[in-house]
Amino acid sequence: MSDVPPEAPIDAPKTVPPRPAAGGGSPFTPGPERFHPVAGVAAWVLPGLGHVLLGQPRRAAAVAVGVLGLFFGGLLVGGIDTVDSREDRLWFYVHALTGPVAFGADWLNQNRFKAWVLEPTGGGRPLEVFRSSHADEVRVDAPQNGQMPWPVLQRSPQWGDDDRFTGPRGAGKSIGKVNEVALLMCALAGMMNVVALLDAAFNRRRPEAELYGKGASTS
Amino acid sequence: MTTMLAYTLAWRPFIDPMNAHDWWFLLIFPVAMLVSIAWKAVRVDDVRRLPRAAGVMTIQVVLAMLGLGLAAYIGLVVVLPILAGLAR
Repeated sequence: MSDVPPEAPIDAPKTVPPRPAAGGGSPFTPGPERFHPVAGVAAWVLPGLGHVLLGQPRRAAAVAVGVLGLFFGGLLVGGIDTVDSREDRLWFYVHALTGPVAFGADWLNQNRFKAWVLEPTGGGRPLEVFRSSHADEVRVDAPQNGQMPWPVLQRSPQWGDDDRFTGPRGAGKSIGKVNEVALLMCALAGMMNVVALLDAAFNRRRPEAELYGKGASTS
Repeated sequence: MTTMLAYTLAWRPFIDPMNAHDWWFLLIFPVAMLVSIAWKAVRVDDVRRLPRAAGVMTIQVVLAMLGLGLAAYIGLVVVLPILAGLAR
Protein backbone atom coordinates (compact mmCIF):
# COMPACT_ATOMS: atom_id res chain seq x y z
CA MET A 1 0.00 0.00 0.00
CA SER A 2 1.34 3.42 -0.90
CA ASP A 3 2.35 5.73 1.93
CA VAL A 4 1.07 8.74 0.01
CA PRO A 5 -2.22 9.87 1.56
CA PRO A 6 -5.20 9.97 -0.78
CA GLU A 7 -6.20 13.38 -2.02
CA ALA A 8 -8.80 15.09 0.11
CA PRO A 9 -12.37 14.80 -1.16
CA ILE A 10 -14.00 17.76 -2.84
CA ASP A 11 -16.07 18.62 0.22
CA ALA A 12 -13.16 18.34 2.65
CA PRO A 13 -13.09 21.00 5.41
CA LYS A 14 -10.78 23.88 4.52
CA THR A 15 -9.47 24.37 8.05
CA VAL A 16 -6.96 21.53 8.00
CA PRO A 17 -3.65 22.86 9.37
CA PRO A 18 -0.63 22.92 7.03
CA ARG A 19 1.42 19.76 7.09
CA PRO A 20 4.30 18.40 5.05
CA ALA A 21 3.80 15.69 2.53
CA ALA A 22 4.01 12.14 3.74
CA GLY A 23 7.54 10.82 3.67
CA GLY A 24 9.02 14.28 4.30
CA GLY A 25 8.99 15.28 0.62
CA SER A 26 7.82 18.55 -0.84
CA PRO A 27 4.24 19.41 0.08
CA PHE A 28 3.71 20.23 -3.59
CA THR A 29 4.55 16.72 -4.76
CA PRO A 30 1.51 15.60 -6.77
CA GLY A 31 -0.57 12.82 -5.31
CA PRO A 32 -2.12 9.98 -7.25
CA GLU A 33 -4.24 11.07 -10.20
CA ARG A 34 -7.98 11.04 -9.61
CA PHE A 35 -10.87 11.83 -11.88
CA HIS A 36 -13.14 14.65 -10.69
CA PRO A 37 -16.03 14.80 -13.19
CA VAL A 38 -18.02 17.32 -11.12
CA ALA A 39 -15.04 19.67 -10.98
CA GLY A 40 -14.58 19.30 -14.74
CA VAL A 41 -18.18 20.21 -15.48
CA ALA A 42 -18.07 23.07 -12.97
CA ALA A 43 -14.95 24.43 -14.68
CA TRP A 44 -16.91 24.71 -17.91
CA VAL A 45 -19.96 26.24 -16.22
CA LEU A 46 -17.84 29.01 -14.71
CA PRO A 47 -14.08 29.26 -15.32
CA GLY A 48 -12.31 28.62 -12.03
CA LEU A 49 -15.27 26.98 -10.28
CA GLY A 50 -13.76 23.51 -10.74
CA HIS A 51 -10.68 24.49 -8.75
CA VAL A 52 -12.87 26.08 -6.08
CA LEU A 53 -14.60 22.72 -5.60
CA LEU A 54 -11.18 21.09 -5.28
CA GLY A 55 -10.22 23.46 -2.47
CA GLN A 56 -7.86 25.56 -4.59
CA PRO A 57 -9.47 29.02 -4.49
CA ARG A 58 -6.32 31.01 -5.32
CA ARG A 59 -5.62 28.91 -8.37
CA ALA A 60 -9.31 29.26 -9.26
CA ALA A 61 -9.06 33.04 -9.02
CA ALA A 62 -6.09 33.05 -11.39
CA VAL A 63 -7.93 30.81 -13.86
CA ALA A 64 -10.98 33.07 -13.72
CA VAL A 65 -8.90 36.22 -14.22
CA GLY A 66 -7.09 34.69 -17.19
CA VAL A 67 -10.03 33.07 -18.95
CA LEU A 68 -12.73 35.63 -18.23
CA GLY A 69 -10.23 38.44 -18.76
CA LEU A 70 -9.53 37.12 -22.25
CA PHE A 71 -13.21 36.62 -23.04
CA PHE A 72 -14.45 39.99 -21.81
CA GLY A 73 -11.30 41.60 -23.20
CA GLY A 74 -12.33 40.24 -26.59
CA LEU A 75 -15.82 41.67 -26.15
CA LEU A 76 -14.34 45.00 -25.07
CA VAL A 77 -12.12 45.17 -28.15
CA GLY A 78 -14.51 43.78 -30.75
CA GLY A 79 -17.89 44.50 -29.22
CA ILE A 80 -20.78 42.08 -28.79
CA ASP A 81 -20.53 41.22 -32.50
CA THR A 82 -17.37 39.21 -31.75
CA VAL A 83 -19.43 36.28 -30.45
CA ASP A 84 -21.75 35.32 -33.28
CA SER A 85 -22.97 31.75 -33.78
CA ARG A 86 -24.50 32.59 -37.19
CA GLU A 87 -21.89 34.69 -38.99
CA ASP A 88 -18.80 33.25 -37.26
CA ARG A 89 -19.96 29.70 -36.59
CA LEU A 90 -16.55 28.02 -36.56
CA TRP A 91 -15.16 30.67 -34.21
CA PHE A 92 -18.20 30.24 -32.00
CA TYR A 93 -17.44 26.54 -31.53
CA VAL A 94 -14.20 27.61 -29.83
CA HIS A 95 -15.81 30.54 -27.98
CA ALA A 96 -18.40 28.13 -26.55
CA LEU A 97 -15.62 26.35 -24.66
CA THR A 98 -15.58 29.34 -22.32
CA GLY A 99 -18.95 28.19 -20.98
CA PRO A 100 -22.47 29.61 -20.67
CA VAL A 101 -21.09 33.13 -20.72
CA ALA A 102 -20.34 32.68 -24.45
CA PHE A 103 -23.88 31.47 -25.12
CA GLY A 104 -25.22 34.45 -23.18
CA ALA A 105 -23.18 36.89 -25.22
CA ASP A 106 -24.32 35.21 -28.43
CA TRP A 107 -27.96 35.33 -27.33
CA LEU A 108 -27.63 39.05 -26.58
CA ASN A 109 -26.04 39.64 -29.97
CA GLN A 110 -28.70 37.70 -31.89
CA ASN A 111 -31.71 38.98 -29.96
CA ARG A 112 -30.81 42.50 -28.91
CA PHE A 113 -28.43 43.90 -31.50
CA LYS A 114 -28.61 42.16 -34.86
CA ALA A 115 -31.57 42.80 -37.14
CA TRP A 116 -32.99 42.28 -40.62
CA VAL A 117 -32.10 44.39 -43.61
CA LEU A 118 -32.89 44.33 -47.32
CA GLU A 119 -29.64 43.86 -49.26
CA PRO A 120 -29.75 44.83 -52.96
CA THR A 121 -28.84 42.01 -55.33
CA GLY A 122 -28.12 44.03 -58.47
CA GLY A 123 -31.44 44.12 -60.25
CA GLY A 124 -33.16 41.16 -58.66
CA ARG A 125 -35.38 41.01 -55.64
CA PRO A 126 -33.54 42.31 -52.56
CA LEU A 127 -32.45 39.67 -50.10
CA GLU A 128 -33.62 39.69 -46.51
CA VAL A 129 -30.43 39.39 -44.49
CA PHE A 130 -30.07 39.06 -40.72
CA ARG A 131 -26.85 40.81 -39.82
CA SER A 132 -25.03 43.22 -37.54
CA SER A 133 -25.64 46.91 -38.04
CA HIS A 134 -23.26 49.32 -39.73
CA ALA A 135 -22.10 52.54 -38.15
CA ASP A 136 -24.72 54.64 -39.92
CA GLU A 137 -27.67 52.40 -39.08
CA VAL A 138 -30.13 52.25 -36.25
CA ARG A 139 -32.11 49.26 -35.06
CA VAL A 140 -35.86 49.77 -35.34
CA ASP A 141 -38.15 47.36 -33.55
CA ALA A 142 -41.22 48.05 -35.71
CA PRO A 143 -41.51 46.82 -39.33
CA GLN A 144 -40.87 49.55 -41.84
CA ASN A 145 -43.34 48.49 -44.50
CA GLY A 146 -45.02 45.43 -43.10
CA GLN A 147 -43.19 43.11 -45.50
CA MET A 148 -40.00 42.61 -43.53
CA PRO A 149 -39.49 40.55 -40.41
CA TRP A 150 -38.60 42.70 -37.44
CA PRO A 151 -36.53 44.28 -36.03
CA VAL A 152 -34.94 45.97 -39.03
CA LEU A 153 -31.92 48.16 -39.64
CA GLN A 154 -32.43 51.60 -41.13
CA ARG A 155 -29.97 54.24 -42.16
CA SER A 156 -30.10 56.95 -39.54
CA PRO A 157 -30.68 60.47 -40.89
CA GLN A 158 -28.86 61.83 -37.86
CA TRP A 159 -25.86 59.56 -38.15
CA GLY A 160 -23.21 60.41 -40.72
CA ASP A 161 -25.07 63.38 -42.17
CA ASP A 162 -25.26 65.63 -39.14
CA ASP A 163 -22.77 63.87 -36.89
CA ARG A 164 -25.57 63.43 -34.41
CA PHE A 165 -27.35 60.29 -33.45
CA THR A 166 -30.52 59.55 -31.59
CA GLY A 167 -32.63 56.53 -30.84
CA PRO A 168 -31.66 52.89 -30.49
CA ARG A 169 -28.54 51.82 -32.30
CA GLY A 170 -27.52 48.31 -33.16
CA ALA A 171 -24.06 47.13 -32.19
CA GLY A 172 -21.44 48.28 -34.67
CA LYS A 173 -19.92 45.70 -36.98
CA SER A 174 -16.52 44.56 -35.83
CA ILE A 175 -14.11 44.60 -38.78
CA GLY A 176 -10.46 44.43 -39.73
CA LYS A 177 -7.58 43.72 -37.39
CA VAL A 178 -9.66 44.76 -34.38
CA ASN A 179 -12.16 42.02 -35.18
CA GLU A 180 -9.37 39.49 -35.70
CA VAL A 181 -7.77 40.30 -32.35
CA ALA A 182 -11.15 40.19 -30.59
CA LEU A 183 -12.05 36.82 -32.15
CA LEU A 184 -8.65 35.50 -31.16
CA MET A 185 -8.99 36.72 -27.57
CA CYS A 186 -12.37 35.01 -27.11
CA ALA A 187 -11.04 31.85 -28.78
CA LEU A 188 -7.99 31.85 -26.50
CA ALA A 189 -10.37 32.15 -23.55
CA GLY A 190 -12.15 29.01 -24.71
CA MET A 191 -8.93 27.08 -25.28
CA MET A 192 -7.43 28.15 -21.95
CA ASN A 193 -10.65 27.09 -20.24
CA VAL A 194 -10.23 23.62 -21.74
CA VAL A 195 -6.75 23.48 -20.21
CA ALA A 196 -8.16 24.57 -16.84
CA LEU A 197 -11.08 22.15 -17.21
CA LEU A 198 -8.74 19.19 -17.80
CA ASP A 199 -6.56 20.30 -14.89
CA ALA A 200 -9.61 20.36 -12.62
CA ALA A 201 -10.97 17.05 -13.88
CA PHE A 202 -7.65 15.20 -13.48
CA ASN A 203 -6.25 17.04 -10.48
CA ARG A 204 -3.44 15.66 -8.31
CA ARG A 205 -2.82 18.65 -6.05
CA ARG A 206 -3.65 18.95 -2.38
CA PRO A 207 -6.19 21.55 -1.23
CA GLU A 208 -4.65 24.97 -0.59
CA ALA A 209 -5.84 25.02 3.02
CA GLU A 210 -3.72 21.92 3.55
CA LEU A 211 -0.69 23.50 1.86
CA TYR A 212 -0.77 27.03 3.19
CA GLY A 213 -3.15 26.93 6.13
CA LYS A 214 -6.39 28.84 6.31
CA GLY A 215 -6.01 32.54 5.52
CA ALA A 216 -2.31 32.31 4.69
CA SER A 217 -0.98 35.07 2.44
CA THR A 218 -0.02 34.14 -1.09
CA SER A 219 2.61 36.87 -1.34
CA MET B 1 -13.11 65.14 -37.25
CA THR B 2 -16.56 65.67 -35.81
CA THR B 3 -17.57 62.27 -37.14
CA MET B 4 -14.61 60.71 -35.33
CA LEU B 5 -15.52 62.62 -32.18
CA ALA B 6 -19.09 61.36 -32.41
CA TYR B 7 -17.76 57.82 -32.82
CA THR B 8 -15.62 58.15 -29.72
CA LEU B 9 -18.37 59.66 -27.63
CA ALA B 10 -20.85 57.10 -28.84
CA TRP B 11 -18.65 54.11 -28.08
CA ARG B 12 -20.42 51.71 -25.74
CA PRO B 13 -17.97 49.30 -24.06
CA PHE B 14 -18.64 45.59 -24.74
CA ILE B 15 -21.25 46.50 -27.38
CA ASP B 16 -19.47 48.56 -30.03
CA PRO B 17 -16.02 47.65 -31.40
CA MET B 18 -13.15 49.65 -29.99
CA ASN B 19 -11.55 52.11 -32.37
CA ALA B 20 -8.16 50.42 -32.09
CA HIS B 21 -7.34 50.23 -35.81
CA ASP B 22 -4.18 52.30 -35.34
CA TRP B 23 -2.81 50.53 -32.29
CA TRP B 24 -4.24 46.99 -32.45
CA PHE B 25 -0.75 45.48 -32.24
CA LEU B 26 -0.39 46.84 -28.69
CA LEU B 27 -3.10 44.40 -27.65
CA ILE B 28 -0.35 41.75 -27.65
CA PHE B 29 0.52 42.91 -24.11
CA PRO B 30 -2.86 42.20 -22.40
CA VAL B 31 -3.36 39.06 -24.50
CA ALA B 32 0.07 37.68 -23.55
CA MET B 33 -0.46 38.61 -19.90
CA LEU B 34 -3.91 37.00 -19.62
CA VAL B 35 -2.83 33.82 -21.45
CA SER B 36 0.19 33.61 -19.15
CA ILE B 37 -1.97 33.98 -16.04
CA ALA B 38 -4.39 31.28 -17.19
CA TRP B 39 -1.59 28.93 -18.28
CA LYS B 40 0.57 29.37 -15.20
CA ALA B 41 -2.49 29.00 -12.96
CA VAL B 42 -2.57 25.33 -13.89
CA ARG B 43 1.18 24.80 -14.28
CA VAL B 44 2.87 26.17 -11.14
CA ASP B 45 3.11 23.84 -8.15
CA ASP B 46 3.18 26.64 -5.58
CA VAL B 47 0.49 29.19 -6.35
CA ARG B 48 2.53 31.86 -4.52
CA ARG B 49 4.99 31.75 -7.42
CA LEU B 50 2.24 32.46 -9.94
CA PRO B 51 2.69 36.27 -10.34
CA ARG B 52 6.40 35.95 -11.08
CA ALA B 53 5.94 32.95 -13.38
CA ALA B 54 3.15 34.70 -15.29
CA GLY B 55 5.25 37.87 -15.58
CA VAL B 56 8.23 35.96 -16.97
CA MET B 57 6.02 34.10 -19.45
CA THR B 58 4.40 37.36 -20.57
CA ILE B 59 7.82 38.82 -21.39
CA GLN B 60 8.82 35.61 -23.17
CA VAL B 61 5.68 35.62 -25.31
CA VAL B 62 6.06 39.28 -26.28
CA LEU B 63 9.75 38.82 -27.12
CA ALA B 64 8.95 35.69 -29.12
CA MET B 65 6.31 37.58 -31.13
CA LEU B 66 8.76 40.42 -31.76
CA GLY B 67 11.35 37.88 -32.86
CA LEU B 68 8.93 36.18 -35.22
CA GLY B 69 7.95 39.55 -36.66
CA LEU B 70 11.58 40.49 -37.14
CA ALA B 71 12.35 37.14 -38.76
CA ALA B 72 9.39 37.51 -41.11
CA TYR B 73 10.48 41.04 -42.01
CA ILE B 74 14.05 39.96 -42.74
CA GLY B 75 12.83 36.98 -44.75
CA LEU B 76 10.39 38.95 -46.87
CA VAL B 77 12.20 42.27 -47.26
CA VAL B 78 15.86 41.22 -47.30
CA VAL B 79 16.32 37.53 -48.10
CA LEU B 80 13.54 37.02 -50.62
CA PRO B 81 14.62 39.89 -52.95
CA ILE B 82 18.18 38.56 -52.87
CA LEU B 83 16.98 35.06 -53.81
CA ALA B 84 14.76 36.55 -56.51
CA GLY B 85 17.78 38.42 -57.88
CA LEU B 86 19.87 35.26 -57.93
CA ALA B 87 17.20 33.41 -59.84
CA ARG B 88 17.23 35.88 -62.74
